Amino acid sequence: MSATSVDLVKETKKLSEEVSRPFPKSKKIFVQGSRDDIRVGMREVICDNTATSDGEEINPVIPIYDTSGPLTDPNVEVDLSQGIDRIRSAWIAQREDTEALDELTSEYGRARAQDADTAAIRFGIQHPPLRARSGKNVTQMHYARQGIITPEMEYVALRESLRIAQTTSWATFWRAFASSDYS
Amino acid sequence: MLKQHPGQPFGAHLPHQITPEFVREEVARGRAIIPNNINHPESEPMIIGRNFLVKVNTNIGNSAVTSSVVEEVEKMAWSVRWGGDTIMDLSTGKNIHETREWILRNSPVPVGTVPIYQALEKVNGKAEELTWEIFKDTLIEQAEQGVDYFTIHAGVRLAYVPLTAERLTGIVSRGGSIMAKWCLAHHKESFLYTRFEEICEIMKAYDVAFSLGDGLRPGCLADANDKAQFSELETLGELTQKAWQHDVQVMIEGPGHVPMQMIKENMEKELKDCYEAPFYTLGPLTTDIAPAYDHITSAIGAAQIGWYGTAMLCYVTPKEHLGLPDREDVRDGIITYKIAAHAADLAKGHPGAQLRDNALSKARFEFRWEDQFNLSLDPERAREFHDQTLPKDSSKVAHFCSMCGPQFCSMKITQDVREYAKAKGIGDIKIAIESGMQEKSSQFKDEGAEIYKNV
Repeated sequence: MSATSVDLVKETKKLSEEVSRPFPKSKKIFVQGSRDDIRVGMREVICDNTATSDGEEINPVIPIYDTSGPLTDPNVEVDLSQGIDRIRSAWIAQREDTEALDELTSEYGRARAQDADTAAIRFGIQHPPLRARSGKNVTQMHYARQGIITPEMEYVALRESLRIAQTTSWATFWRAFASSDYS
Repeated sequence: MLKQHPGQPFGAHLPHQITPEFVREEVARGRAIIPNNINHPESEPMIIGRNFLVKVNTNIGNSAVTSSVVEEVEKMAWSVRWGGDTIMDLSTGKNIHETREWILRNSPVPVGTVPIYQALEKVNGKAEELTWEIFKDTLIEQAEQGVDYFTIHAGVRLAYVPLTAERLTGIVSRGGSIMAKWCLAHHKESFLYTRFEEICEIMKAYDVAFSLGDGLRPGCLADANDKAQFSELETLGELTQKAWQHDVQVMIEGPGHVPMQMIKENMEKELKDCYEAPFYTLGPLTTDIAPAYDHITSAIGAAQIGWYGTAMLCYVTPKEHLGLPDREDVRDGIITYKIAAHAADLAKGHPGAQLRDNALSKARFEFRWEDQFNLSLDPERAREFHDQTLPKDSSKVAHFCSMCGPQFCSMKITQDVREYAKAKGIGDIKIAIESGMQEKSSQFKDEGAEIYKNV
């Protein structure tokens, strides 16, 4: 490995603190789907209680749609030179309609993979590219039209619903809510 | 806390609980897309459709000169931190192939590109030298890296190019102008249009979604909703049907610059001509007189069109028309668009959309400053602005802010009224106010009824 590439990898391993630091009083939560590997990440904002003359009133955590994935998760050590987790790989493989190619299909892609000038900035891992097997169609629309609910669709449904009822502090809130005058 | 005003969804169907079956139906119908290339397994599935939350796209991209790989990955991370739902990599310089690989391997959100940009690099910027072979090789190159959606300007037909001659600002889309130049140079329909079915074959082998480009979008208010723009939109509808025959996912790109009273027509025409395929618009900007503030001119239009049914809003930064955005511009652009998207969700009546508003308002009313910051779209800036006038920690438990000061805080006064009511055992706030007033009034009279007193 040349000096440049070592430097680059070293430099690129971690995101700066500014872009990756978690938001205050927020935590990542994961809503579990029908299978172990459907885990939908969300952000929860934890609120203080309200002091009232009758004692402490509990304010529920507020779930927020989160687009940042593992990049702002303090429990995940992101190594940019390795890439983030490939969470959909198993779903794709299990459909058995794709094949891993021995080499890149495009001429340009193949040429760049051999290009000495850009070797130093090339991402270190080449995952074999996947393509639909002959005669297969791997679009989400195709599956949907076959009546198949993919893990991707289930993931999306959980994500869009912001499944608040599943979180424990909400159970507490619901009890408080039932007897409150906020309705 | 769970209070929510009824929405006006303009025909959108927003079920109380979004089930996997509902998602499947929407995708099957073409009304929503899940852009998820099989070569981008790092991406967390998300959906773009009018019966779901309104999404925001952010753009990144180096110019030919600057930007290292590290900077580009940081830009991606910065965008998703503030809530970008997808990112488009619009890079044009050298090494874009390598940079894109780094971005894809680390991006938790779908990545879109405009492949014609890179194809143009391969012919040294000479549009007329573009060929189907070079373009096709570029599509496959990017599809095998994992790009989730391609902007393809297949609706720029030869016959539409002359329609732009009378325009104030002609063709403003970069992809549109490249293809228009090619059409004129060869005096032929573009290969994007004539080879569309072959493009579909590539798309379905990797699950890349189409973002059918609006190459003829208006570049100023004067050109809004003209024949060129709407002719192209009709062609995009025709291409949508073709893509759907291959079960390839499609969204439709939209304007641009449109005055407010003409925005709704865009949405209605898109739904009709493109069979409810998701609409993805750039703004639109509602006036042309505010360069340096076009995140605002466009967010006004974005909020409206999002309410009418646009599924994803492409952000605009304060540097639009002026230069390349820096980090703060990107943040301003994203937050501005998160506001537009959320305002649209609220107006449509998306179930649960108002919960965060209620929680933040309750925190504000109760002077829970930290909670108010933390529930906001940009907690860091909210805190920073508060601290500019009241930097002390004690101010974050204070029952006032620097806007009105301690004596004139309306929220504090309302709370006092409520406390008074409670202490006096009065259930009705109106009665409490009245009885409080009477008490004050008798006190006033008892003390001699003087308006000005020496204290």
